[in-house]
Amino acid sequence: MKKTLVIDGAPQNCALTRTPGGMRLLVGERSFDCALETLGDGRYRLRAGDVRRDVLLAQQGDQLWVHVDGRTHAIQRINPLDALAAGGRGGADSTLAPMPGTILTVQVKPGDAVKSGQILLTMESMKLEVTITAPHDGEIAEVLCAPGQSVPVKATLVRFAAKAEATP
Amino acid sequence: MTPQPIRRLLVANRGEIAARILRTARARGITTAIVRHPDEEGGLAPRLADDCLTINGPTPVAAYLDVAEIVRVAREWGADAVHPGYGFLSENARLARALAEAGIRFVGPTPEVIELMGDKIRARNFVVERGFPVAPSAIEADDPATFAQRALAVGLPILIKPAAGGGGKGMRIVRDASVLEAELATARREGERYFGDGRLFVERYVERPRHIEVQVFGDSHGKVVHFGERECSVQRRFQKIIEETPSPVLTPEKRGAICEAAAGIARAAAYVGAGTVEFIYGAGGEFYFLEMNTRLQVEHPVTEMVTGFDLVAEQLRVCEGEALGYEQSEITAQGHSIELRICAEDPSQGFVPATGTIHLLREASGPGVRVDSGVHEGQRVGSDFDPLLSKVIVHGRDRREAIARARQALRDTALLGITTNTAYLDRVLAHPLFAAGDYSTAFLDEQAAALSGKDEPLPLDLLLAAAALSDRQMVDAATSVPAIYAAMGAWRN
Repeated sequence: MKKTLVIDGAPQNCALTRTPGGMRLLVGERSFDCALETLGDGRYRLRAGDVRRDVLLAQQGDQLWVHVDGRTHAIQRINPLDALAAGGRGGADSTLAPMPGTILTVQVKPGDAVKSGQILLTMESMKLEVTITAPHDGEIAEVLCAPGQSVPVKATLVRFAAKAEATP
Repeated sequence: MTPQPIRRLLVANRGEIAARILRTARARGITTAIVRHPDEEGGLAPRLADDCLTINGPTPVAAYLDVAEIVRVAREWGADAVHPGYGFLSENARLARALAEAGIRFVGPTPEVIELMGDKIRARNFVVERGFPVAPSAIEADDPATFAQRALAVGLPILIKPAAGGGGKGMRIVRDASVLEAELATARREGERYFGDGRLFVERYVERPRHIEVQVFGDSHGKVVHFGERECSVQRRFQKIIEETPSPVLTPEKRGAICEAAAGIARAAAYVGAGTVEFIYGAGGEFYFLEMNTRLQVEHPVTEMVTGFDLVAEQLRVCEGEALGYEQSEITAQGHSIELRICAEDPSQGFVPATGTIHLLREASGPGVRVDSGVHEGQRVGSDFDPLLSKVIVHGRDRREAIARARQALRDTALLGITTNTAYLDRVLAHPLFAAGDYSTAFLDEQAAALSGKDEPLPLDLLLAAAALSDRQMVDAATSVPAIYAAMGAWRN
């Protein structure tokens, strides 16, 4: 089975295959032997090609965190079938919360025509006030938040109407 | 006055500072309690306290800021003292007064001194009148109609500050007269929201300044001493992330002058308890009074590391009515200490706060390493509170050793499941200007590109191997096929 592993925003298509001696990872056109052995308590002995490291691992769902050489890296695993399903949704776009926080003001309502850069709403997270502006000209289809509401990061705040197709 | 020992202490705070205060209280044989809102999950402090008291409010933060609620639980539990920690109600004179009326001691200075220093304009006037240096400024309340004009007369660039402010909230730098009105309006809104007070003042903004503060301590017998300075110039958004002592820039003469000025201000205010006098330090060696914080600071551990004093124990002793019992000359500093604030935030995205669950936690240890943590494995970190998770504090014989220990401690720190600033802090420590001690409050902004970590090599193959080999579906798919066919997988499809 192939999965897309996203590290630092860069996707890599990978699959594992068994070899007489263990496992081999196929990454695009190249491949190398690899091994992972648990040492208990979140610690693992990891081998990739000739490189060996003791690492810490934690995962939740498709998200993995690896602590190696004093740095923590977050890796997202994407099943290509899921990605395909997600890509099929409508043409309208939306504005997402850049951080978790509380909505302070909402300055647009459904049906409003907005210009690129126009203030849509303001929000606060801890000590920072942030202004959310329209990424482009368009019409507001839906406002999915209200003042005082707490929102997680990447929550959809405002949805834009799909651009009207030019009718011939 | 006979000292009155504290037997039951309520810590009206949370996170790492609550845990840190509880440790000292426990060591002194004091029965302890902590407060928490029903919406809060986990946390280290509740595990260290004898009792955990529920405080109610529409949001967790509102409960921690509710004077009546804190006094209610303190009274019901039978506290004979309340330690406010930092933030929340730590500089709130109403709490100090309400507790006094309830016959409960407040671990901090008198309400009068809290009020004096909490009003940045009154504090500034108090300091000027007693002959200590302050930066040129304009105060809105003097004549609101001409405020904008007088603000410009201070000379650009200027810094707008809320009169009731602190902690960097509502502060704005203005370099261009055309944006002054808009920035004043924003600062006023923020002042109203955070402090319930929209009054402003402006100060000449010292370019590339350092932020140096001095720990002071007074007892109820009229004695005031200082515990030396802390260099707090490594800041993002006006908030410190790395602090150290001694400051790499002060000569012994300057150190004496700035520490004596701080102790002089505290003496003039008849200060009782732990306090910190903050100064702006210019490139020419000039320094101006910035503000006085009438509480324990986040960065107090660096002072503890070099002096050997437990400042929380000193606070409790002073609150009990004991005399400090030592002279200024008996407070000496050994070696060098650095504190690193581990925050749930993403430095690559403008330090936006991050949320998540700490699935795996490993804390640093070793010679000269101390960790003041507020979190535990399995804890969910939300956006209700400040992003500070824990502090790594190191001590070395000299600055070089302290930096080396700090860097190793950061590499040994793992908080898997949430984005933190540990790698960023390590890059700051590795920067040649930090190593040289040549930095100002503008350091992080000026060196943003060098500190971004974009050129840091990624152990790509190790990460891919870890991600694939820990994925049940990928492993199952490989092992469910006999080895001979599986080996063909690379080219079969």
